[in-house]
Amino acid sequence: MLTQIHDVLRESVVIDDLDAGGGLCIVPRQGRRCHAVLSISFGALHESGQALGEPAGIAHFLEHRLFEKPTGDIGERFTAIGADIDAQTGFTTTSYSLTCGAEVFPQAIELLFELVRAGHFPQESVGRERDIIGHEIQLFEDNLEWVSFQMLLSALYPDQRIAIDIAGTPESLLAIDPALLDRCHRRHYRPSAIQLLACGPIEAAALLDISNQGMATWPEWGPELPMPTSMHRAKADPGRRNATMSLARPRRLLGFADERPRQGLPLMRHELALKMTLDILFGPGSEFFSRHYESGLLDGESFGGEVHMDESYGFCLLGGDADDPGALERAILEELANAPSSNWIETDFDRALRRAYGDMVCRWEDVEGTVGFIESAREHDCHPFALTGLYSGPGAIGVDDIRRCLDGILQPDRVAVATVGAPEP
Amino acid sequence: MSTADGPTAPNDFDSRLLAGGGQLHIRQTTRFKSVWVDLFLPQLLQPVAVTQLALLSRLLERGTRRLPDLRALNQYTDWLYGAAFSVQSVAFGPFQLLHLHYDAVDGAFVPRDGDDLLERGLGLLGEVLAEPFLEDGQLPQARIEQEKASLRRFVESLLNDRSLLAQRRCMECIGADTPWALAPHGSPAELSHLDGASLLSFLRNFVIDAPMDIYVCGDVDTEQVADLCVSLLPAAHDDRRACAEIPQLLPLAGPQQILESADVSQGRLVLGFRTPIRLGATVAEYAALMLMNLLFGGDAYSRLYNHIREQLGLCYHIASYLEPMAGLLLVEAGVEPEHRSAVVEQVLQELRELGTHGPSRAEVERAQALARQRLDGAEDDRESLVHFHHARRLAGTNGSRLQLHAALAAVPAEAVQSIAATTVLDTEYFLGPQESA
Repeated sequence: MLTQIHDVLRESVVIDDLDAGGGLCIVPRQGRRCHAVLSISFGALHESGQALGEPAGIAHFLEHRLFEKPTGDIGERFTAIGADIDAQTGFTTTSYSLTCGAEVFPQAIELLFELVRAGHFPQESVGRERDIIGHEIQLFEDNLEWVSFQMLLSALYPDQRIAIDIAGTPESLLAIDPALLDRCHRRHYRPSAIQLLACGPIEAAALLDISNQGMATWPEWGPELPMPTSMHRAKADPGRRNATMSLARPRRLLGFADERPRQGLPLMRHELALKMTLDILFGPGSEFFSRHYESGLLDGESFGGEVHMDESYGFCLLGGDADDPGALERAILEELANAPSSNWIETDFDRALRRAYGDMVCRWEDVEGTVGFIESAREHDCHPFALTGLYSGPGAIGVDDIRRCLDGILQPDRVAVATVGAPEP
Repeated sequence: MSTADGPTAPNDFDSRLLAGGGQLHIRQTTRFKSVWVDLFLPQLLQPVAVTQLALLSRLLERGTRRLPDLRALNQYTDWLYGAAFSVQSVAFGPFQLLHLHYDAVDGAFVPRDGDDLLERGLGLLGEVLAEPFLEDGQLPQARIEQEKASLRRFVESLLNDRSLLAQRRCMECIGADTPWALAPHGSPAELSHLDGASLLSFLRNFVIDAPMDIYVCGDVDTEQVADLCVSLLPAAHDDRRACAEIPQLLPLAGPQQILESADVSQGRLVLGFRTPIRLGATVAEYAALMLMNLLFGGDAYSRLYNHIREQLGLCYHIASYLEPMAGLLLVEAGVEPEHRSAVVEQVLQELRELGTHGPSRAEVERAQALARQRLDGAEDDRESLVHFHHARRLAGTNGSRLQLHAALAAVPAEAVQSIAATTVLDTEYFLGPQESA
């Protein structure tokens, strides 16, 4: 069990391997609440496709159905002890998260392992789940954030798995049956795919014991499949996509794909550099933001940027609602074209770094934020404290990192554009 | 593993009256890595004034005498290690609150020059209220016009969130002709009547007259914070006015059904029920209402979720929540038009069932465990702590988290049953796809 202490953050991180495979990362601290995430490295991009028995949406379907056990819905047993349980399927992971008081945390962790350990998939409930997920997909079709994000993925990565809804499509859901769910569970929910991340008033040794016990009787797992092509780095083919939705004004998002494969600390360094670049050029403290807010071109509520980096994809997006989305797009691209020859990066770098440093410290503030931080670090095989070295000291990010973003990913001629709103005339 | 037995302090905040008329509430704790400041100035929601304050909240974010424009202000907070600063007009029950928020990293966690981050923050809030940016002694006309346009756009964009829209419309129907119907962003139709002189005069009076509550949470020196608040925040010449009494909803005339349509993929159903309990009731009564909501529809494994989603598969999302000041219980669901009647009937059936037979012991115990865990957990969550305390100040009641925690454990199943038996439907609101209406 390896414990490291960070003097400035006044936090400690405990890391260990689990006996059966997988790992554990804990931030013990005083407080009332414990938060834990059991993360399985199986997400939508791992689905091998219908021909190999893994239709689009099966990772998400499995996440929903694992709550049903022969004795009933296991979620009720969490709430019976006062624990909140939730689950989420992403591109590359499925996460089960719980929040509870310290006194019931050991019981809740035992339940968490029981939740993911074995499946129970009666035909009737699989059919009903298909309806429920169908309702879920339809509900999200009214969600502007979701629709615009999905459109941007289609514009960046046409016809690739990443551009299809994580929950699948009505057609792909029809192909999912109990036998496929069982086989998928045995293939992917293997001990080596598990990371447990936790923060709160927790004794690390006790949590390690409970986790090892929780994984001691794991069902036999099936053979591993070759890595599906969807897990190879998504190849960008930027274009334009439109979705029709009744809105007060259209939303336009611009996307830029990072085509260079990255992993580990260099990936996280690039992610930070890209966030800072967007902040310097387009953030609330930028000249661009105030000029175009005052002119009314930019809507202060919805305008902003995001960065999404993983080993199998990497992109950033930027935009918002606008009366004249074409003018907004031109203004952004013009700013990007002018940025390399300007001195904005040099003059605003320190300000952006201080802002980023403050944001990083505040992510360690509550148990959820802290677990999110260590989860992201462990996903990329980094020690959480290694990330703090990006903000100061000899390994700190510099002006050159920002310039590389401008010369690399943020090329105006490699932009993908998504628009949601009334059809363009 | 360590244990927790529930909230330990009788009150979450150390409260005191400041010279200058504000109430200061401090939570001294080393639990966090930042210091939060929340300042509230309430008024009853009322036509015109609501729009005036909503517009002012935006103008106050545009600059001060020292930080004259948006960029100067945003760069200033960036230099304070990305301190968060906002001015918002929000509603709580029948009240509109001007809410100023500032939070910054605790100086102990920054490499250098972090000692005065709290002082700078309180100074910023004081400047924003007392020294907004003026041109020739007036709020700049160009900015007023920009913010009017921006507020209009904001109100229009509320249509983008169909669930919130349906909830908002249901409240407008339930609270018709009372402050409960008004939204904190005001009415675009009233904007054209507002000019710089009347806005500034309103602001000058409001900041020294409205009851002011200031919450500071973090690793702070209590006396130093009190001194900073007195020296940096606007002071009243006389006593500030007391918080208004909570108005009543109009008497229930009978259940109303409102069917509207919009470009939605899935319908949004909101059912508004009147319960006999409000936030101002006794702690024991309110605890019973909390449990009733949790086991009926507020918890992920409630009756509505189990029956309507899991057993009948009629929808993906269905949940209930409370509007505590009016004592309303609202049920919201994403529903296809062809299932609307069935879902409404099932919700009413579940309520009748709960009112006739009461909850099982296991249901009550599960809801108690969850409610008590969340109440405990609020100790790590400043937003929840501040909301809990301030909501009770507005409601004119004193119940502490500790009292509520104890009361939850003592709620008998009969109290939950009795609330369910006397809860009645006020409004069925449905926002359906266009062809269904």
